[in-house]
Amino acid sequence: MSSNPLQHIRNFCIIAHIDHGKSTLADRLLQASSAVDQRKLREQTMDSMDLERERGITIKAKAIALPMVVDDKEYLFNLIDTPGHVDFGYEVSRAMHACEGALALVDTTQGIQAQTVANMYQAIAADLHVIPLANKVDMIASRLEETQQEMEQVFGIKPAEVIGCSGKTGLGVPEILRAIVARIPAPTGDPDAPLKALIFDAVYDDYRGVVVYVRVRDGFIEPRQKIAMKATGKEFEVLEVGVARMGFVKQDRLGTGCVGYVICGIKSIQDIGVGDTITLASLKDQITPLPGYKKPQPMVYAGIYPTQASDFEALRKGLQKLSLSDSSFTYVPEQSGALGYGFRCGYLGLLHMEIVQERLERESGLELVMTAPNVHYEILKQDGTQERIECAAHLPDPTHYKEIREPLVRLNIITPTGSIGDVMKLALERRGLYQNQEHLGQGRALLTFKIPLSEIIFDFFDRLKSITHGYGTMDYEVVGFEAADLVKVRIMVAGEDVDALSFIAHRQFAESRGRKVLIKLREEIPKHLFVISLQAAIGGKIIAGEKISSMGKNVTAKCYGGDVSRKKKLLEKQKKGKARMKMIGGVEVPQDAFLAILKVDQDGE
Amino acid sequence: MQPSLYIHIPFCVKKCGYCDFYSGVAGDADIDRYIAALDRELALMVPQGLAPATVFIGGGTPTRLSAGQLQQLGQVLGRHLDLSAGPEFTCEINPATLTPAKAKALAQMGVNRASMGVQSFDPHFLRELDRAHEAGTAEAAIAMAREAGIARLSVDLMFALPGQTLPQFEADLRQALALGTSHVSLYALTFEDDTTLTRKLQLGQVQPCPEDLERAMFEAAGRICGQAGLHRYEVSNFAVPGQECRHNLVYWTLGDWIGIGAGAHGMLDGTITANPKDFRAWCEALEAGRLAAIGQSAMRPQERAEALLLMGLRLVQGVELARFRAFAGADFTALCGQAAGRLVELGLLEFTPTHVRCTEQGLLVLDSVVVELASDLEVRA
Ligand SMILES: Nc1nc2c(ncn2[C@@H]2O[C@H](COP(=O)(O)OP(=O)(O)OP(=O)(O)O)[C@@H](O)[C@H]2O)c(=O)[nH]1
Ligand code: SF4
Ligand SMILES: [Mg+2]
Repeated sequence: MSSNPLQHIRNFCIIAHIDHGKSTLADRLLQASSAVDQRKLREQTMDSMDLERERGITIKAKAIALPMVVDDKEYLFNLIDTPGHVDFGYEVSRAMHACEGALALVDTTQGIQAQTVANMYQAIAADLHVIPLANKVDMIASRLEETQQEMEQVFGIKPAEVIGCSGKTGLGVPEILRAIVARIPAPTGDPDAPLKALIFDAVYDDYRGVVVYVRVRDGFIEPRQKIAMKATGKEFEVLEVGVARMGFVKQDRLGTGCVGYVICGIKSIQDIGVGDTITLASLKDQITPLPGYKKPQPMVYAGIYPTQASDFEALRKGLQKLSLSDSSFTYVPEQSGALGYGFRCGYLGLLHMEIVQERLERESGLELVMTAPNVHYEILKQDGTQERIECAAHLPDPTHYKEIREPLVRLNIITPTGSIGDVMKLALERRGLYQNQEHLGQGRALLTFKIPLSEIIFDFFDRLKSITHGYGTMDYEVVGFEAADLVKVRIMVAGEDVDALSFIAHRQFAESRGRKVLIKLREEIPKHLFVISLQAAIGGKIIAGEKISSMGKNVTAKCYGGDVSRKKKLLEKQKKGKARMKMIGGVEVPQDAFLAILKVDQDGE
Repeated sequence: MQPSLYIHIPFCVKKCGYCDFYSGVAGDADIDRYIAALDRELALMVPQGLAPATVFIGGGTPTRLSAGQLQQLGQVLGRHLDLSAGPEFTCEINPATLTPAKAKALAQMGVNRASMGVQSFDPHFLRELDRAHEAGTAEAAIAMAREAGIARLSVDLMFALPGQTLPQFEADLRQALALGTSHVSLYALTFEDDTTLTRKLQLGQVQPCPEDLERAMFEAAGRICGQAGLHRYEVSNFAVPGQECRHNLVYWTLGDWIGIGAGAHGMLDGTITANPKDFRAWCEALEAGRLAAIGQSAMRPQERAEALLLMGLRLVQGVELARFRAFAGADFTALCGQAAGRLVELGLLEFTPTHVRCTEQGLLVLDSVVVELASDLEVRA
């Protein structure tokens, strides 16, 4: 498409709060394009991953190139559909760097939500030209005018600028197409300057290896070029370039302003720095790199262990394979006294964790033990150096450090005004610091808190939903680390320290949490042939204790000649079940018990 | 020693609510056909003139057969077996279906031990269990059996019934013992899959007996039977010394027995045979002159060890170490000494110079004890 003059190119992303209809609107734009095989369209066509279709959400941002005729003129639209879930916020910011504009959707049955605010500010900060859309106007519950008023109040957008539309019926699509052409500027850049292309994504394809997604800023990129990655200095030869459109569509060249893919024989996604600049190998030392972006930082960490120690290598392979296609989770080997050898993995959030773990179990077929997630901490040691702690068990004795710091976030909550009191109470209970309140009209308010990440990451959202009768939404952003009075609570089973169950908590809540974890464990660990003692301790001091009484009766009443086969089969099953458990101090601990602390949270405090 | 013989009669008057045995209701023609097929199977499976160590007719409900059919069955057995030595010969009897004529036919056949399926003397629980007989028929049936000359008697009772109290259970047991029985089988009710009782449990219509109470009943059973001179010799079985069921002892020591009839299992030197649980398929095979057995599996050494433990530890005397070595091909302590050591420490298992056995506490949690031992076997194998 190098023949496309720059002024006919429009690069934009679709952004919105989760479920506000981004992928559905993308369907309508795909439909409007002459170059898309209409038979291949289905609902949320761009949600092509199995997990996306199963869960009905977008997980990865995806780019697609759409030839489009608007008012008899030909254009090339490069559209990027983005995910709405807060865990995948970095996908949105990456997409924005490849665009000049954004379609910002608001579901008119819901109004502005927490991620609407977050995405909108991000788009403005990235200098994108935003086209505000009020979506789902086909629905009876749609409140177009109120939504427009809200957008004016919160973002200062004039109601006349907001296009009412429906991703479902296609209402408003022609107007959107015209707005894209009129309001989003064509890309700028120098076709004659040396190649500079921004890597905004990379995916692993089983057949093609690593496929790199780029936005060409200057010059062009084409097969047989010798290119180099600015940051790593690594050089490659371009094998193929093209654009994504219901699959890969090969092109002769990607010109200035274009968004497309490059294949150049890269084996592992780890060799690619997303945010890096591609240049010509011959000029790599001369050009200045494009502004990139930071690698997303994991928010939560959790251990993954094989139930069978011999599966460790298989687990490593499974993680390696997964990381080919998802560079946003991290894994490093770790050893646990209770669980043996495994890995500590970092995730962008709980949904991300759930997805990675599900994929891993599904694709590797291994029996795994997952430990409860935690955030990471910084400790300031006596000698003034700092250390990062990603696993509660690794927190040293308090005498070994001066202070311990935890990540703090700015938390934005949108809630009906009627629930403000309850939301305040919830946030304060979780050590939140109230910062700001803004009325959005229509009986809704935006509340801002500073709050420890550890207090909101697990069950906070569920609690928020329940106290706001389903209307509350939230968004957060890490703003720094702050010292706090945190302690490590150790858990002992049958007198043995179970490092995988220890957790870090604020001193104020340590005892009650410890007690609740023990109560959960008492439910999770089946009765044994002996009494099992459960204890929680801070340092050397026991703060709570529980007991699991021994098994009272477990014997088959009738067992005669005809029962031998059946009993043997049953025994086989029982042995397998036993082998699946982790042995700790002679106690068989089921996999789920290691998530006991998570379940404590789910029960509410 | 000659193998024992088990004969299965898979017919019942109606299906009881807790029962998962292979049994069902059938008409007289079916039963006649069944007896004829038993004749064919005996001919194929039993060496002519075998003098079995013991014989056991179970079900189902053997007394669902008419007196005439029982006589016929007696003739069939007489044709194939040599019962002249008067081996222990047990027949399960459902009190509601026994008549003096049937009792007589059984005695003539050689039955010398009646296993009476009383389950409870309490009309309320009989109804709960969907049992076909009424309270009171049990005593009458026992009298009939004695009258016919069947000398030995065993009474089956169930406990841990939904809603049953400890005194109610004790009253049931005392009533059974008052009948002068020399053998009692006391079964804790279990909720088997696909039974009406289990469905009621799932619907919350019945409550299972609390574990503590069940344990108390189990312990009370030992005490009350002991006072009457019956000692526990297996998890659920009590007998006056010398009156233990020899046939069942063959099972628990994994001796040899031949299983005849639809759904019957047999065991010959560690090889298990299984007949189809479908009496028509079983009949058809035999009518075509074929053996009906659908499965024959020789146990591997580890399985032999496991099976011996899982059956043998049910006995109070435990498993004979020499028998274990001979049957499993290795020393008990060599195979699972570590787990056994832990269990001994917990007071659940003990060794005598000749046997390994459960303690009283161990017997209560036998299934878990066996899993412990078997898992140890697995690790070493
Ligand atoms: N009635 C109606 N339903 C819509 C419309 N747009 C989307 N939906 C429905 O809203 C739900 C969410 O739509 P998606 O397109 O998956 O939303 P999304 O914003 O891509 O969601 P994420 O990618 O997970 O953030 C689906 O059930 C759609 O069918 C619309 O205009 N009208
Ligand atoms: S009589 Fe016995 S075999 Fe027949 S259904 Fe009742 S319990 Fe089962
Ligand atoms: Mg989507």
